[in-house]
Amino acid sequence: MTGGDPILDIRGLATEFHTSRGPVRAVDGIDLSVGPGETVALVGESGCGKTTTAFSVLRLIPRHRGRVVAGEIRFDRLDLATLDERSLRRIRGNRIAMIFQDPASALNPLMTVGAQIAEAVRLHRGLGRAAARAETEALLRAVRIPEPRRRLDEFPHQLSGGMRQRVMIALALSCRPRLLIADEPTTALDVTVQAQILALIEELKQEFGMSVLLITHDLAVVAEVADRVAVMYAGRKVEEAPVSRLFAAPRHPYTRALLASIPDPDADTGGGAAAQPLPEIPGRVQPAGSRIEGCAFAERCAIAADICRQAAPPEALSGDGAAVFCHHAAPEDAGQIAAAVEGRL
Amino acid sequence: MNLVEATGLVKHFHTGHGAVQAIDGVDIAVREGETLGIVGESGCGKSTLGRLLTGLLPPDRGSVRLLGEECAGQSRRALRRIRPLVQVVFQNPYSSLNPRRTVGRTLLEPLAVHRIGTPRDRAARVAAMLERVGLSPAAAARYPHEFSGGQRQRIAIARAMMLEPRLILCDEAVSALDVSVQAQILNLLAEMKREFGLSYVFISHDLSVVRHIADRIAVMYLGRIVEVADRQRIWSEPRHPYTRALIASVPRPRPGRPKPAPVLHDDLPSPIDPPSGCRFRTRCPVATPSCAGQAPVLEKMGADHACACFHA
Repeated sequence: MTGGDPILDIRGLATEFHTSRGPVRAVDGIDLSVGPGETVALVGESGCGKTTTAFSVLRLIPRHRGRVVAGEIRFDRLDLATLDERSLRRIRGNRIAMIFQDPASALNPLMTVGAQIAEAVRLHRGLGRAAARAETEALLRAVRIPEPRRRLDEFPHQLSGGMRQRVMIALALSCRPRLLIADEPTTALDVTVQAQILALIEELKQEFGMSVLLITHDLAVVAEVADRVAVMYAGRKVEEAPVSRLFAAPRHPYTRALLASIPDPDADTGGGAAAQPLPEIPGRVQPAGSRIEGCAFAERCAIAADICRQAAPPEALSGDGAAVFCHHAAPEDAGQIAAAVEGRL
Repeated sequence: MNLVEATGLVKHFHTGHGAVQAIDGVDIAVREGETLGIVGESGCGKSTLGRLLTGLLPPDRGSVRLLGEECAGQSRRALRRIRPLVQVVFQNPYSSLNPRRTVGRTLLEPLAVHRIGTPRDRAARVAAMLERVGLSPAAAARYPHEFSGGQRQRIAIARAMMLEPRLILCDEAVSALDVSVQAQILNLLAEMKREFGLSYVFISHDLSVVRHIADRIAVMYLGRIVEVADRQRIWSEPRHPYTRALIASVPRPRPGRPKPAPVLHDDLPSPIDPPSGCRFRTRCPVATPSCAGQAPVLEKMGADHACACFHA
């Protein structure tokens, strides 16, 4: 699945927003890499900085709202953090494409679907009018839109949510990007359509040899599609691991709590008996911008000690790029973890 | 004993393009003390059904009996007696709470409208309820924008509880919340139900959540119920092809599991011009020509299990 140098390599990324109370750090020193052909999921709750991280990669944060204040964003031997705007424009939408949660607001309501895709194809690939139209139809077919020729002349409002997301994906693919950044691509869709779109992204990844950076809050979706997962909390990465390891043996207390708090639809409930209460994470995320000396999760953590409120947790690395930031990280082995956590609680 | 009994419900909405058949022939009961989950894709009519069951919308045809009393076709005055028994919690607590009112005023209002208690008595009730839902009584003096999404949903639940209802309609009540907060609210709802002997009609697009909280689950497709069974059975022995497809589509938190290929390919047909016969037949993997004729009706498939399919 992975191998070779990463396509995208983020080191020490920090992004701040300007507010009336001064700069607020939404992303606070993130390392993240995406290998060729790999799907990396960036997961966390609202406000954790996952979308800001994705927007920072393409420097899509409007200058009056905020900026990248530190770090490197290596993509194809370039540093996107410092690249001039003109060169960056050649990368955006071209070699790195992005799709969003709400395709309705990302598509131009006054242009037909065909014209929007054709515009991108002509702009980025220099095709003529007729060639662009043929290519557009091929793209709609590639994203499995039925009757693609007829759809070319339709407007976004004439399509369902799932079809609109397919059009967004066709648009993203139009320039054969090496990296697709998908920000909550299925959150607004029904489960049946979500399954179709996730399967489609997977197929296209193979077909076009893309890597995917998936931003999501949905751990079940992560389990279905990701190769590797980075968990964010309050602007920082708290844990990263290959997907199977993260689910089988989460090491950070936040990851553990998060996984425990999602209802498992296949849990055996023994004939309609009332469900067990879900394990809760007490309290809530600190509002963005609150200065945190130690571990950001300490206030909500069941095993926090004094050290957690005083010093930022060190990074504990293990093989294959897994990492955890916690003073009391559980051991790597699943059995030991359970024992250790029981003991501590 | 049934708290709500609905029979022959029909509700169409008239639009410029024709009548949307939001609900087209639904019989369902909500039992005392149960949580009835309603699931289905967007546009299947689940929110409309929720509103019909709670008397928020009058049906075009059919009957809704709440505790034996007919709600359909009643005057506003008559409904006023029934309304306190039924309350609602919506998805977005930001838009369902008045931003210009303190939380205390919002919670007091239902008591004032129904002339319950003295002013001092009411204030004490508000304080007690805020505490019960996990907020400080001091929250009464503050405004909705001062609270997080999860806290606002607690306020919405407190408001719904003020009149000691028998039934609460939860329409996507936890859908906008983060998972850690969602777990808190689901647990709170379960506690309230136990403590006050409530029933819920719980509508959500998230099958995992409904599976967790509901006692019985009704699956809707284009304005009709296609299957209803207790939560365990519908998951382990789904009979309707649509229920099966829906359950197969739910992402599971188990990496590396063998992934079923997506079963359903097209989108939901238009509810303005639904397919004849069985409405699911255009997307159904086992449909036969005969499915286009008669519409299948819900038939008993054993205890507490009914399904509307010729091939079930």
